[in-house]
Amino acid sequence: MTQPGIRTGTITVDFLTPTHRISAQMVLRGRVLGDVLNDVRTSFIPLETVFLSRLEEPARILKSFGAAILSKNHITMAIVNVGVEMALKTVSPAYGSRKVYGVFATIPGFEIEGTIEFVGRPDLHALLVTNVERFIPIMNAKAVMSERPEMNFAGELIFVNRDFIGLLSLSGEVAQG
Amino acid sequence: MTRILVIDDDIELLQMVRMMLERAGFEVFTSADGADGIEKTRQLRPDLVILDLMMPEIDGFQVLQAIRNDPLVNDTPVLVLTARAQPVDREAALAARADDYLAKPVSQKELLDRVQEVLNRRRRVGGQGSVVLFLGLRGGTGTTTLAVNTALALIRSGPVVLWDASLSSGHAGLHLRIAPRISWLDWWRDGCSKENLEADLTPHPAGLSLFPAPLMPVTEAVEESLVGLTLDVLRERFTFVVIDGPSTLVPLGLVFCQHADQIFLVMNPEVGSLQTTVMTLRALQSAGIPLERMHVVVNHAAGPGTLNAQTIERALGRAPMLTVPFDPNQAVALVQGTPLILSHPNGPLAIAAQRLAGHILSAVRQPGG
Repeated sequence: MTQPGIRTGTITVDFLTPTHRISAQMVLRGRVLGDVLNDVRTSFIPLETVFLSRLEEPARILKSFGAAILSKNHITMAIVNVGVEMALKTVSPAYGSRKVYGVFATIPGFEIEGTIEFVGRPDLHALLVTNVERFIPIMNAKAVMSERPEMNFAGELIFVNRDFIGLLSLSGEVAQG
Repeated sequence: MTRILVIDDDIELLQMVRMMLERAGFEVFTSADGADGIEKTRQLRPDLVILDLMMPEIDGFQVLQAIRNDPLVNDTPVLVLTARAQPVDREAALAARADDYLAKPVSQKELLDRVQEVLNRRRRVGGQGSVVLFLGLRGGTGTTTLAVNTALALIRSGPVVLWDASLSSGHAGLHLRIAPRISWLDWWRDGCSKENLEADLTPHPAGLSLFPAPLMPVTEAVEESLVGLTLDVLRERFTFVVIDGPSTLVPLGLVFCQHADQIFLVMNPEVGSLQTTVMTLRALQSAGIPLERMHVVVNHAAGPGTLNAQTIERALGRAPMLTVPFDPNQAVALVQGTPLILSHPNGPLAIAAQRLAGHILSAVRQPGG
C-alpha cells in the first residue's frame, strides 16, 4: 500500500467494526480524517485499496477490493499510525488552557486507554452528550480485545465512535514534556 | 552482487525502494503483483525478497506461503514491508515464516539496516564464513597486532583470510613479513572477478591468506558498496574473514561494521582512546549496529596506561570483553615479522589472541549467533 507522502493526500487507516477489521486508504481531498468522520452530511466514507479481515483473525486477509464504501454507523474505531497530521487539525496552543488527561473507555469487545486533550475544565458529559463530534480522538492509544487480552491494536491516534462507548473515565493530568 | 526482489503493488513505492537499494549497491528487481512475484522469486532466486502484505488478488501471506512451500526457493529470506502495522500483523508475518517485519513508511536508513541485518542473519545460519572486524579509531592501539594474531589463532578452525582494510598503507604485511604487490583495491579496480581473487590473495606459511592493503595511502574515492560484494566472495571461500579495519568510520569503517558479525573495538587505557571508544560505540549504535555485536578490548600496547579498569568500565557502561596485558616481545615480533602467537605461543598476547579466537568460535557455534 502507499506510504503517506507518496500519494499526497491519502492516509492509511485501520477501521474496526463490531465484526471486522478494514485496512484501507482514504483520499482526503484537503480535509483531515477527523472532519471526514464527523461530517454529518454523509453517512458513508469512500475507501480505496481495501483489505478485509475478520476481527477474530485480524491479521488474515479475507478479501481485498479496489474500492468500497463504509458505513460510519458501523465504525467502532478508526486507527491511525502514520500521518496523524492528516487525521487531526493542529490546534495552536491557547496559553496553557489545553491540558492532556489519561483516558479509559470501553466499547463492546474492547478496552481502550490513551490520552485526551481538553481546553479548560475536563467535562465528560459534554464530551459524550453535547459535543457535536461523533468520533472522539484518543492519542497514543491502545485497544485491548476484552476476550483475548493478548490481542491489541495500537495507534498514535484512535478515533472512537462515542455511540459505542460504555464506560468513560479520566485519570490525572498527563505532564507534557 | 546481492540481488533483492521487491514485491509491492504500489508502483511509486517500488520505484522509491528500488532507488534506496540501488544507491546502496544492491541489484534490484521489482514485481507489482503476487503471482508475478512468486514467479520471479523462482526465476531469479534472489538473495532477499521484500514483500508487501496488502496486495490485491494474491496477498503477501499467500506469496510468503508459496515461497516457503517451494523447495527451490524456500530458504530465501523474506522481509515484510507493510502498512498493516499492528502487533498482530507482525506476529502473523513472523508466524508465516517471514524473516523480519518493517512497517511503512520506512526511511532509507531503516530499510538498509534491516535488509543488512536479515542478510547477515541468513549468512550466519547458512554456514558461510563469519566476518570479524577489528577496529581501532586511534593510532597506536595495537589493532593490527590483535587482528593478525587472532586470525592466526583461528586457522585451526577453518580457512581464514585477513583483510587489511587500511586506507593508509596497512601494516598487516609487516607483521607477517609479507610484501604483497597487489592489494584489494587493485582487485576492485579490476572488476572484482572471483577468478582473479586467488592471484590477489597473498599466502602466509602458517596457512593464513592475506588480502593486502594498498601500499600507497589511498587518495581517490573508494566505492563503499563493493565491501558487501567482496565479503560475499570471501565468505564463500573462508570460514573466517578477519578484517583489520580502517582507522575512520567514513568512508569504509561504518560499512564494515554493518557487515560484521562481531566487532572488536580496540582501545588503550588512555583518556583519548577511551573517549574515542565511548563515542564510537554511541555512533555505531546510532547507526543501527546492535550493541551485542560490539566488544571492547583494552590493549596495553605500550605499557600500563593511565586509566584503571574501574574508570574504563564506568565510562563504557559495561566491562570490556578482554584486557590484553603488555607484552614486551611485541616490538621485536614486528621487526622480525613473526607474530607472537607463532614465536611466543604461551606469552600474554598470544593467550589473549587465543581467547579472542575462542570467543569468536563460541559465538559462531551458538544457534543463530
